[in-house]
Amino acid sequence: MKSICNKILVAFALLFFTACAVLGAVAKDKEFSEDENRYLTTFEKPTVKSIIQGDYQTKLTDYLTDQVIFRSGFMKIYGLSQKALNKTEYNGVYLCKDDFLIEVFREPHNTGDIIERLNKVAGRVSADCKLMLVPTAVTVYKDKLPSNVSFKTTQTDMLNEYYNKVNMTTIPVYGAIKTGSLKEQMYYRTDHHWTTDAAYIAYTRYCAEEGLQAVPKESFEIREISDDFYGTVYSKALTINQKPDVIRVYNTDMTGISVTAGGEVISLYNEEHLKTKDKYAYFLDGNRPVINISNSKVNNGKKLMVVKDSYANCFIPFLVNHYEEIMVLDTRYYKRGVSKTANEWGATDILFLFNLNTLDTDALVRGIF
Amino acid sequence: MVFSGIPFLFYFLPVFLLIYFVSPAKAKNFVLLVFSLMFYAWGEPVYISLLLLSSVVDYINGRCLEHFEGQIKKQRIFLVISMCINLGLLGIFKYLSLFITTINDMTHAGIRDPKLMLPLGISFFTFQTMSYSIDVYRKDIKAEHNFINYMTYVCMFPQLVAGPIVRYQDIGHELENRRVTPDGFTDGAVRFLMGIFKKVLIANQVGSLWDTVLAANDRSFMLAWLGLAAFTLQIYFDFSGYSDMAIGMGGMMGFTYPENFNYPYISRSITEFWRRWHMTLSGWFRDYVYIPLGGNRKGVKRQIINIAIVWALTGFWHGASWNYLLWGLFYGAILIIEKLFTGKLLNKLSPVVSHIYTIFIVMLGWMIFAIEDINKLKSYAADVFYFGAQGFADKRFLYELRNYLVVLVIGIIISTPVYKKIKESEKTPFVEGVMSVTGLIAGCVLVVVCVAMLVADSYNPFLYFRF
Repeated sequence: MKSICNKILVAFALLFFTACAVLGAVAKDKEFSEDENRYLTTFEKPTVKSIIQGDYQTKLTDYLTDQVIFRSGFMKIYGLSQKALNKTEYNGVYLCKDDFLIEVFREPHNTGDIIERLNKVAGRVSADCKLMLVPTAVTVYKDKLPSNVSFKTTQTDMLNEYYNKVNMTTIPVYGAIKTGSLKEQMYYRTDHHWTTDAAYIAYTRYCAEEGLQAVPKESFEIREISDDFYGTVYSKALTINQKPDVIRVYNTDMTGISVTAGGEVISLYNEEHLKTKDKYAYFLDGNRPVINISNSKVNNGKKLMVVKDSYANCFIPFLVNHYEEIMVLDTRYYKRGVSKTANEWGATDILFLFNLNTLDTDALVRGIF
Repeated sequence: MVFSGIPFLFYFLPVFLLIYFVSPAKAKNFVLLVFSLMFYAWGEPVYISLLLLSSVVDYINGRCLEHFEGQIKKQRIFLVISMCINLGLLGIFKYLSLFITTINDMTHAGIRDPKLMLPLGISFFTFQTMSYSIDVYRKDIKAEHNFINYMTYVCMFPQLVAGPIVRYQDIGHELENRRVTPDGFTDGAVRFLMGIFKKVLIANQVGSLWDTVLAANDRSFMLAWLGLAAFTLQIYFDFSGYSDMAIGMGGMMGFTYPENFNYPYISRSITEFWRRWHMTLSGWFRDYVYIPLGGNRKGVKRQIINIAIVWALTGFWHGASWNYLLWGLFYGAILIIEKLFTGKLLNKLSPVVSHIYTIFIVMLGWMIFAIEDINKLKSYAADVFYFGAQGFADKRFLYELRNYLVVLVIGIIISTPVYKKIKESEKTPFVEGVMSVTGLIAGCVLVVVCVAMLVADSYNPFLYFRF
């Protein structure tokens, strides 16, 4: 009996390996993994040099692993296996209460460096600078984290250090979002971004600090534009039976507003992205290096530059009612210096808006000032 | 190429097995050799020349030693050539960089470090080819005349890059003539799968815990020990898993490789531990260094010196960094103490005490082994012995414990012979049947889970690149 079972096991394993190889060879290569939201390694032709240096072999290993047949299925089995091992964290994601997936927060290392760069810009421009740092779910939804998760430096520590040391107006949003979290969902379950509701709360805080009259919530028509959003954090964890997210939008009156990205006419909201995996790209058409927004209904001479990461994408639409022109720079992709651009363009205000999770690690954010 | 990776499992292994088994018996060694060279060249397209140099030199040496049989003086020349070339390769490609940096650090001499890359498996194949020449010299074996068979012996991929260290006398006759039965093939393949399971399902899983703990700047006392427990399991399951894969693949082709591990963590003394851990390496040092130095035949004083020499070398063999030397000397010292004083006592003590003593020493040993940077080692050692800033236990410890408890417990159980005992115990046919079917289903599930882990998890280190 035993010997037969062993033979079946061996036959299964060898056939399984071979079948995966054959099916993988026959199947067409995928360039992009929707589930994981990343580009997969594709085949490269070997050269004598790349073989001798061993680069080709390394690439081929990545290629074969990335292009494995049933890749998404294997990713899900991996997630299940981690759950079976009773893990609460894998692939940089905490499996949290209430079906929340929250990105791991890592110890910041570049705080001093980034503060220095921010202050340098503030010193070089004539515009009024302000900083808004947004805590992420790991802080606001602390109660949902697995028990005993601890950080040597918390996002609150980080926030305090930045706000104490930068020479610009600081806009505190943590308390308001924390309070807001009691009533509404402030972060997506499956994505690393904040929700539009959280962005609205931050907007009211921004207006309060800037002495602007915030548009009341009641004047917006609030719509659900998607109820099956599986975001970037889900792409890392690929949990089974994951509850999807709902994306909401606060409809803005678009008359008089024109939006361009490097000469191309775009819109504050792009429905096309709702058909794809990356539905958050609905806001501001995803991450463009530079976007120009003008509103002909406003005549106050104020020109705002927003230096930001993707957290700002659902936030900026709220600001269009308060500025004649807004220029949006994503410093991860925009390669000209911020202060030079701001002075040439004649910015009256500059808002730096980053989330506290990627601020430290996004090397490009640091490199650009 | 590593065994526990998609390219090997999906492509190399099936293609190799197919071609190997359809080839006529006479061509099998040649097929094995060609695939082995491809396997090695995948990782070392340039340094394959060193592998070829080392093996060809000792093939010629073997023939010459045989030719000059009876003329000891001439034979010695060839023996010395073998030692010089093999140890020279090791010295240049493995240790030169360390020596230059150390001299530069001490004297500011500013000698230029050529920064040679360490060729994969060099410590394994040079030891194999050296042992071959020495054995021919000692007349323990006859020189191999068939060049293909000889090259197959040195280069065959299952044991080429991570052992076990196979001696010519272990498999010489099988190179000439071996038989594979369906049962033998199955047993080998099952052993191979077990090795994959050990590596992927346990070693890689606990390994990420060790990496996390090591990366922390300061640790509570318990977290430091949890980290050591993780590395203790990782190194065992990784290394013995690799040996299982090698022995298993050897078995699939009809080779009987020597065993390399025998449940080392159940030892009751360090002396016993080293009879159970990396047995082919300790055997090699015993037969080619310790005994030729006189072993225990020249009085206690000389024996102690011999032990110290052997363990300094054993430690240093594991990597070109001073912590490995320290690790070897640490074991040398413990072994001498056991030989002189505590050895008999340990046998009389309650097994609980001697087990705890052994595992405590072994874990401390792994700490020295795993941390190459002396300052990091000091800071880790401080956490292991005192309650530092983080105290006895902290949240971090509770968190990691909760995340890794299941895999740690599974690892601890499988590192004892419990599973083996159940397998070999007397059972009624019914129980036997139920267990076999359960084993089959579990095995199939684990094969799929292993592939899933290899696809999804980027953490899959090859620990022996320093060897």
